[in-house]
Amino acid sequence: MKLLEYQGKELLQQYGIAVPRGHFCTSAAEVAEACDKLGGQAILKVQIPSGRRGLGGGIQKVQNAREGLAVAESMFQRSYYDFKPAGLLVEKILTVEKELYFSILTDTSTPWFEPLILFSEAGGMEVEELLHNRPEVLHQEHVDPRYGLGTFQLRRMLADLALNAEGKAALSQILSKAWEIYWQCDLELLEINPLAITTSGKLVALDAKLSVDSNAHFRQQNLQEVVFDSRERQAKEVGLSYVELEGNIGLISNGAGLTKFSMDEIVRLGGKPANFLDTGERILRNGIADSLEILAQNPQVERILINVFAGGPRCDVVATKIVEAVREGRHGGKPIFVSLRGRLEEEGSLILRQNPLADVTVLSDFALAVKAVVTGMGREGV
Amino acid sequence: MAIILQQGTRVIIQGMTGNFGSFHSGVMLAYGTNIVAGVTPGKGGNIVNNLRIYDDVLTAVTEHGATISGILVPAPFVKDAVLEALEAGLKTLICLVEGVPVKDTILIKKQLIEKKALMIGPNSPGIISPGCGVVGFMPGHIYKPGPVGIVARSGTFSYLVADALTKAGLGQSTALGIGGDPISGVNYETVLTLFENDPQTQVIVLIGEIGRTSEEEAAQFIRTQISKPVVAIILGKTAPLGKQMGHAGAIITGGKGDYAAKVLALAQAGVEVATTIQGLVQKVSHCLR
Repeated sequence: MKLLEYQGKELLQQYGIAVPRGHFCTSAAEVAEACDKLGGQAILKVQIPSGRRGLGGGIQKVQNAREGLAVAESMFQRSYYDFKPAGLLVEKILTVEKELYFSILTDTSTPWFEPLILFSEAGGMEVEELLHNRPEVLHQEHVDPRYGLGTFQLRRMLADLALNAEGKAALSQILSKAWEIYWQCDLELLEINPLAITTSGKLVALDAKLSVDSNAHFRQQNLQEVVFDSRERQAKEVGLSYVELEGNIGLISNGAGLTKFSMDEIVRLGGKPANFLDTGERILRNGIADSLEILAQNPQVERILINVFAGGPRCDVVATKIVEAVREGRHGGKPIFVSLRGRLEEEGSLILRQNPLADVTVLSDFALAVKAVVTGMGREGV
Repeated sequence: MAIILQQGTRVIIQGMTGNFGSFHSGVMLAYGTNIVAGVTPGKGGNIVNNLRIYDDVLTAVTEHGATISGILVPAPFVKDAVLEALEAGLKTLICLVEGVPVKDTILIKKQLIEKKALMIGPNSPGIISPGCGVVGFMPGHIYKPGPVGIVARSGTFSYLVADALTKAGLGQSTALGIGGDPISGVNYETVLTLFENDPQTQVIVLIGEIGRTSEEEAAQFIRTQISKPVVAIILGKTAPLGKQMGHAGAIITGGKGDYAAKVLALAQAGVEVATTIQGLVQKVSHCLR
């Protein structure tokens, strides 16, 4: 779960890491006001869950409130990497002497998945470029979370840095605080790039890319995700795992692996999935109805495939859920192709046969169902 | 023989008193799993599924001689439940719970290594040794005893594979899911070694997914350490990688973890990689000939 830059900076600030003076604005008028408060000159940054905003025109400097108003108006009207900005972060422009790179993430390539700190005196560029172009200036330190980030590790990381003792002490303090945030707030990623040393010698986080482990939501409730796409938001609210793609075949399945396999099969047989949708345990509650409702709203979806293999849940229960949801019209009249297999398969298929529905085609096998949904035919295969 | 869960293995369930826990334990018992007691702090003395509930793991384990704990407590309590089970001396845990914070799993993992213990999960469908028992959500009726060992990252799809294998007359020694979370207690290598040493297992089926580099690491291991034939299938060929994996994983793996990299690594290790369930069944059948 990605936090937007302004949310990340709020968190950094709470822990005592300096960020530029700034205001999060949701209208052009607010932007103009913020520019005034900052003394006219300011930098406007679109708030979207994506990097490389500068390349896409999402970061603009303005000289005064009047220019701020005009620029903000056009920025609010545009989309950046398919995202309408949730707002603009309006910040004071600082004069920077040096830019550093700093991040913490979970290193899944180690046997016990230790958090890894990456630090470099070459900031500003993306970490991939850094790894590729200047690996010699990228320091890596694993942290044992039971003991935290050691002072000896900080000394080692900062040893080659051209900075006086005082500067290094200040920097160590910031890195220690960042570690605290990472661990205490259940983060998956904390990236400060660049971490600037200003001409007045201050250390300031110019950007903040923070991502929170969504499993930890129950104990990090003050960290809320700003969700952009409305269907993805709706799916999240009802507990479905949903990712929208570009195709025309709507997909409803249960289990992450089975859903991925269903996507692969649709593509293999010449179709294009419109989404990934795993109902998980929700299939026994309103999972089918909620899923159909979401797919019904996506104008790209022409036909829907329901592929369920009932291990825990029973086919008769799932069949009843399908019949009820379609009778209520949750699918918006889109043709549905069903493969329902697993526990009490016969009973499930009996329920579907006894309740014939105009929009629903039941197929005896998953491969047949995929073929049918891809071609839009195969209704005679009932 | 099977691996981990044998005929008669004594099992306790942590979290048997809730709706979810009592229902699933009931299903496991009905399959013949030798569950001997339950543990829920504060509910000691109650009876659920005709089994006694204890307040703590140590007493339950001591009274009943259990060697495995199945964990079904709510996600926020998993870390505590696991640490308690390890302290009580258990060496095998099956953690079926979804939604455990990564940070908790990291701390659990440290303790597992220290105690030389094995944990399947979190976010695992569990383990089934057909005819012996199930600690998990696998629908027992689709499995039959036989020579195929199955290790998967996730659940539902592996049921589909087992179903197809059974229908083709190919039974299973043990099937288990290591868990679908970004990090998991047990890795492929440990499970592969157990299958390698299990006389019943003649072929190993590995069901992988895109993301992480577990399959690449397993491939390296298979090349040098596993003599039994391995047949694999990798899910998510068409899934958008960026959506599944955060920025973090991508940095470290430097472009690894995608479908092509996994298939290549496995193929180079002599693993037969199938793309369909039918293809997989055929390859398994061929290995047994």
